[in-house]
This record gives sequence, structure tokens and C-alpha cells, in this order.
Amino acid sequence: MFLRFLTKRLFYVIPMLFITTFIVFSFILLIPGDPALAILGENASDENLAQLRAQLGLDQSLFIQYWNWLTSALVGDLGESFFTGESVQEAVFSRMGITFQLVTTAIVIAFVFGTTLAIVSMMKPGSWIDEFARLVSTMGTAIPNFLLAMLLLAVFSLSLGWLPATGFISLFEDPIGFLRSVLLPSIALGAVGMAQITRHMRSALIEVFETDYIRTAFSKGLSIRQTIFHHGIRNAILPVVTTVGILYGNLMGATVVVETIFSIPGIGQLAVDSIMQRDFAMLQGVVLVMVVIIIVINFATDIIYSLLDPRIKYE
Amino acid sequence: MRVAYQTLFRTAILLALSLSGCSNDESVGATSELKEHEKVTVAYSTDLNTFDPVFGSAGSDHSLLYPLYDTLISFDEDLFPQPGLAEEWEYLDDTTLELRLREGVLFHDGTIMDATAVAFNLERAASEESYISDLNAVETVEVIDNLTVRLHLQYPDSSIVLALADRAGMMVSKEAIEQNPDTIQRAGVGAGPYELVAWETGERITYRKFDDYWAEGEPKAEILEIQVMPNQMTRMNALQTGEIDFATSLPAGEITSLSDEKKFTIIEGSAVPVNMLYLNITSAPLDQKAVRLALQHGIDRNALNEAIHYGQGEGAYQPFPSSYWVHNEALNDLYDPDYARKVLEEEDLVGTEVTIAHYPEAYDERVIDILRHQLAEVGIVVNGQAMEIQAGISAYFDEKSVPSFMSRWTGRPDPQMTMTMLYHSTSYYNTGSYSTEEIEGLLAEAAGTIDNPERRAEIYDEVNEIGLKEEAIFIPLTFQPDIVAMSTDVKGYEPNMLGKPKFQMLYKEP
Repeated sequence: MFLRFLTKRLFYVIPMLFITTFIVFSFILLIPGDPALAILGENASDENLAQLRAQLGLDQSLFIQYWNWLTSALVGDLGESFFTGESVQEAVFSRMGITFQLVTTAIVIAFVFGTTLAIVSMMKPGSWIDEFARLVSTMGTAIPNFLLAMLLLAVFSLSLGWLPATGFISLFEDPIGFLRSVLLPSIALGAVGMAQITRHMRSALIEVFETDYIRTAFSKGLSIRQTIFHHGIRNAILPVVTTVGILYGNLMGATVVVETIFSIPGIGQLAVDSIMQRDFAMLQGVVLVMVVIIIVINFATDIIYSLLDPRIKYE
Repeated sequence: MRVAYQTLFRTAILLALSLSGCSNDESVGATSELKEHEKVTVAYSTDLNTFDPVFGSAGSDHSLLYPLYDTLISFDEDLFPQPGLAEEWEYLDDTTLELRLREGVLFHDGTIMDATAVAFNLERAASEESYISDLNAVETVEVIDNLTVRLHLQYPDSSIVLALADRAGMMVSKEAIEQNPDTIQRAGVGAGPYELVAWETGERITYRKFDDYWAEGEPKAEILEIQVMPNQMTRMNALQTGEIDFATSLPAGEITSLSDEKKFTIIEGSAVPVNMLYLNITSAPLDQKAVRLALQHGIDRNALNEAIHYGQGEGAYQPFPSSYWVHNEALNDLYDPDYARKVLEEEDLVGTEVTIAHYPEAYDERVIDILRHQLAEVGIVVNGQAMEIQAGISAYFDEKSVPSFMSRWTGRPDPQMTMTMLYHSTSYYNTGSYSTEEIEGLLAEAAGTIDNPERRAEIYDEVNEIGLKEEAIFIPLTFQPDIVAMSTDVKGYEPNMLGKPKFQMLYKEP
């Protein structure tokens, strides 16, 4: 059953990949600015331009350019950067690895603190902690991530000197260094998510608490803590899973600002640089990998759904 | 579910514990086997495009190429030629330049840097495929003996010597190119003080001291690491937290926060890059000389400099800053709003609208606002049109769809290059291909004036008199201050007027 669902899902993914990459390919060519001109600069004589355009394949029609890219991509070759000659696969995967670690940490922080705040505020409604949770969720939504990033930087790096202001160390290289390098950027990035998760979880819990089985639980003499942990969370967590899935996509796109402030060489930075330089080969690679990741995350969200709620069946 | 929560809780505790236990850990990215003072870390605004000197055109590449590639000719801080890989040079006649090379110089791959390698490199730089136009005058390169080469020119060119201090003079291992020219793009092999360890695109370039470098005792640091940090504030933050030792191109307005601390040395230099308005003289309304003259004489550059650089840069009334040897004080009387208004009134052009394309940066927006205000006083209506960099370059230089473009002239080692590229009708930068016979005659004379710098400077004065005051071929605006900051234990920095620092000089005191 599950296998059939998986196959169906894959069939749906393939055309989606074709369509997205083709749309992006056509859009890229619509952006004013010519990569050949950007590379040649003052030496852009007509002959040099024509030669370089031919060398980069830019003199071909849109369909032929897309076809050439696609046939190479299908055999695993995403080409080379127009500018630095770097392999697109290598660049995209190494940068994506960095952003993925950053975004995942941000999501973990958002999830842990968001759900904790929501639960605690449900356990003590009207208390200071409930008010605090409401304040945090409002502020998390209202404060833009670049401002929060700069504030965190000013306090924890520049004034207190506890954490580095720039750079990134991979989790697999040095886990402690990773935590130190990624903590401030991921808080800046995850604050919005935390606010959303707190709000969704809180309102879901309120809804769950109005159901009959919770009243039954209370009438059995369970404490509020037992009721929340045994019956409340599992039923209230579904909308949070949806939020996390959406957040992944949002944060992947939003990292560029935080990456710039903390000088983290992630995929956001690579995407912006490729657009600025009109490095079409690199940009296409970035988009492809982004789309694949979002699809995988959506897919994972669906699976988690079925694990959490046995009533959900995929056919 | 409970299990999942417990796992998350444990992770959070682990996270908190590991953080609290490591707040005094050694600095991020420090190499353990290296002593702290043996590594110099620099923050630079832009990444490299290619390690192949002849297949790149970005002015920002030079500082990243210098550690790897020694040039045939070097230059001092005032941009006068100095010995490099060529110990001596001499014009045998107007069109023959002889270079005598340093003995015992090795490339990083162990091959010898001799006359054959130099001739090979120069021919490559002068070839059709190369992106460099500085050696257009070179007809042939002759190898006289192991350490002597002769450049035979088609016509005299006074800028050739300093062109050999630029990309064209960067010597790449002949063997490395012959084996596979494509590898040079990502892994350059030169004869410079440092050899390449790794280029992590968009992140950092790491260089290691070249043990067989020809100059005794150079370079002084073992490892040079250049980190790419496009954001000015990020560079400043990293310097403040000690993650880097040296930061380039810092913002004039923010630098005061660093200068209050004794831990940093701040050096403010003057350099040849000039912010200016490029004009397409064949495009309306700039085809009307009166409009161009009103732009030229209607802008108070000193006030502009005060407002945007807090007085730290310099107002530009000519393409050369005041500390440069070809600067002429007499040209600094360009600002004359009464004259600007008068020329417009005479031609009945008061109220003419001029569209200026500019980058969508806060800095550029501010400049445009000031220009709009100043030029409104003389009767010109400025329309700013924000365009990101490649769109702007395409629109102005390629499609020619905007009449004016506010950008930067990044400067060249020799003033002849600057003058030719800004004034000559065949230059890429002179979009309207407009010049006068007189200007081009003077430029040819300057090209032939190879041994008399005073006379060359006089010729440039005459060109600037005509080109700026009478024709207004372009509008110089300001010289941006070249501000760098470093921690006080960093030594060896010498600013140069090219505005392209040579990081190989840097070292730290133990």
C-alpha cells in the first residue's frame, strides 16, 4: 500500500521537476543582462562576445539550451559555473549542506521552544508564562530576522564575546564548533518559526481540550500535565507538523539575509551571487536542488502524518 | 510521542551543556599545528572569478592574484614602476622595450621562470583569445638569452611598463599551462610568495608560504587566508571579535566605533578609483553640449564628499586624486553653478530631464538624491533609475538604452590607460564613441612620451581641460576613501594608490 503511494508520488514529482526547471530556465533568460558581457567586461568586442556566447552555448535557442542542460542533468552532470569554472554539483551540494544544517537547527530550536512554550502556557493559563508565550509569539512574528540577527550579534558576539560573529563549521567536522557557529544565525532564522509553532500548537491544544475524550480524561482524575502529555499533544501536533514542513521551504529561501550578516557560505548566498552575475548554469543547479529538497520535505511531512495519526491512510 | 519529546529534551540539554562548556574555546577555524601569529586572516569583499590572469576582467581579482603571481614590474605606493620579476628594463628605442629578468626564480611547480616562460606568457596575454587589451601595442616578443626578453611594439605606448605590473605581467608556469590550460582557472601556478592551498568558492582562499621564493625572508607569515565577506558590517564585526586580523573597504561613517578601541589600527588611504557619471554623448539629451556642461559645472563635489564620506574622501574634479603625480590643482575650479545655469538658459534648455542609471544600493541612492538637489538649482531635473549591476552594465554599455550611468572607474596602474579608456573614441567606456581630433592627437603624443613624465602630465592637463571643461565627456564625482583596519599586531601593510592591497606583505608579530 505504502509502496503504491510512493510510486504515485514519484510519478507526480517527475513532471513537476521538468516544469519547474523549464520555467526557471525561461525566466533566467528574461532577466536583462548578459553573462558574456559580465565575464568580458571592457574587452567585450563584438567578436569576443560572439565567441564567448557560442562557447557558453548562449547563442542557441531557448529549447536547445534547455535540452542540452536537461540531457546532461539526467546523467548527473549539472555543468560548470560560467565564471569560476567550479563544478555546479559540487558547489550546490556543499552549499546546500551548509544551509540544510543551519535551517534544520533553526527548525529544531523553533520546534523545541515553540511547543514547550505552548504546552507550558496551556498548563498555567493566564499566568506570567502564558503572557510571556504570547509576547514571544507576537515579537517573533513582528521582528524581521535581519534585525534580530544584528541584535544577537551586537550582544552575544561584539559585547560579550561568547559566540563567533562570522563563519560556519560543519557538524561533521566539529560538533561543538558547529553549535557555536550556528546558534545565533539559527535563532535569528528560527524566531518566526517558533512564534508560529507556539501559536498553532496553543490554539490546537485549546481545541483539543474542548473535546469529549479530554473531559473523560479529566473525569478519570488525570492531572492537567498527564492529560496534556498523554492525550493532548499527539492530537494537537498535526498542524505543527504542517507548519514545520512549510517553514522548511520558507527558511530555505530566507536564509540569504542571515547568511550575509553572519558570512555563512550557504545556498542563499550562492543563489544571489549567481543571479547577480547571470551565472545561469549555477542558478539552474541551485533551483533544481531546492525544488528536490522541498519535494522531499513535503513527502516526509506526509509520512509523519500517517505515523502520528493512524486514521490517515495513503492510497 | 513521549519518547520523541524526551529525545528533543535531551538534545536541548546537550546543546546547552556543550555551549556552556566551550565559551573560552580556541578561536573558530584556528589551525592547531600552526602558531597563532603564523597565520594572517583577511576579510575581503569579493570572491575571485578565475586564477587565470588573462581570462578575467574584474578589478577586484588583483588582490587575490598578487600573493600567487609575481608581476614582471612592480609598483610603489605612488604607482611608480619598481623592479619585480624583471630587475631592470630599458627602452632601446620608442618601440623596443628590453627586460632583464631576475635569476633563480622558480614557479610553484619547481620549473624555472626564464625568458622563454616570460615570452610565452606575454604572447598569451597579447593573443586574440586573451581578455586583456593592455598589450595591444605588442607585435612580437623576442627571447635574447635566458634572462633577457625584448618587446617589439607596433607603435609607442608609454603605459606598457606599468601594464606589466597588472594582469599582463603576472607570470604563470609555462609547463602548467601546456599540460592543461583549464586547470589554471581554479588552481593557479605562479612565482609569487605564496602557493595555493585551496579555493573554497564564496568562502575563502588559503595560501601557503612558498619555500623557494626568490626574495630572502619573504613572505613572513606561513599561511595567508582570505575570507570572502561581501558585507561591510560583517567585515567589521569579524575584526572586532578577533575572527580576522585585517579588514578591507570599510565604511567611512561606521569606522569611528573601531577607532575608539586601542586594539585596532585604521589606515585611510587615497586611491585612483573614481566614482563618476558615464555619459553616452550620442544619446538625447546628452547630445546637447549645454546639458553636459551644466552637469559638469553644476555639481559641488566637495559638498558631495562631505555628505557621503563625512569628508574622508575627496571631491573629484578630474580623474586623478590630489596625491597622484598627474593631478593638476588648476582643474579644481569646475564647480560654477552660475555658468551652468547660464549655458542652459542660452540654449533654452532649463528644465531638461536627465536619466541616470545607478545601483540599487543605499550609498548610490544618497548620491543621486544630492545630485538631484544640486542640479535642480541650475535647471536640470535628475531621474534616478535603479538597476542592479549586470542589468545596469547591459543597459548602458550594450543596449545603450540609458544615457548616463553612475558607476566607478576602477583605475589603472598607468594614467595613460585611464586617459585612453575614458577619452578615446574607440574605448569601450566611451559609449558614445565621441572624442575630438585634438584629444586623440594629444593622447597619441602622450603614448609616445616614454621617458618624460613631466611632459606626459602636461599633456594630460590639456586633455582634461578640453575633455572635462569644454566637452564634458564624463563627469567625475568623488574619490572614495580607501579605509582598512587591522588588529595592532598586524604589520607590513602599505597602502597603494591603485587601491588594490597586496596582502602578501602582511604578517603578525609573535
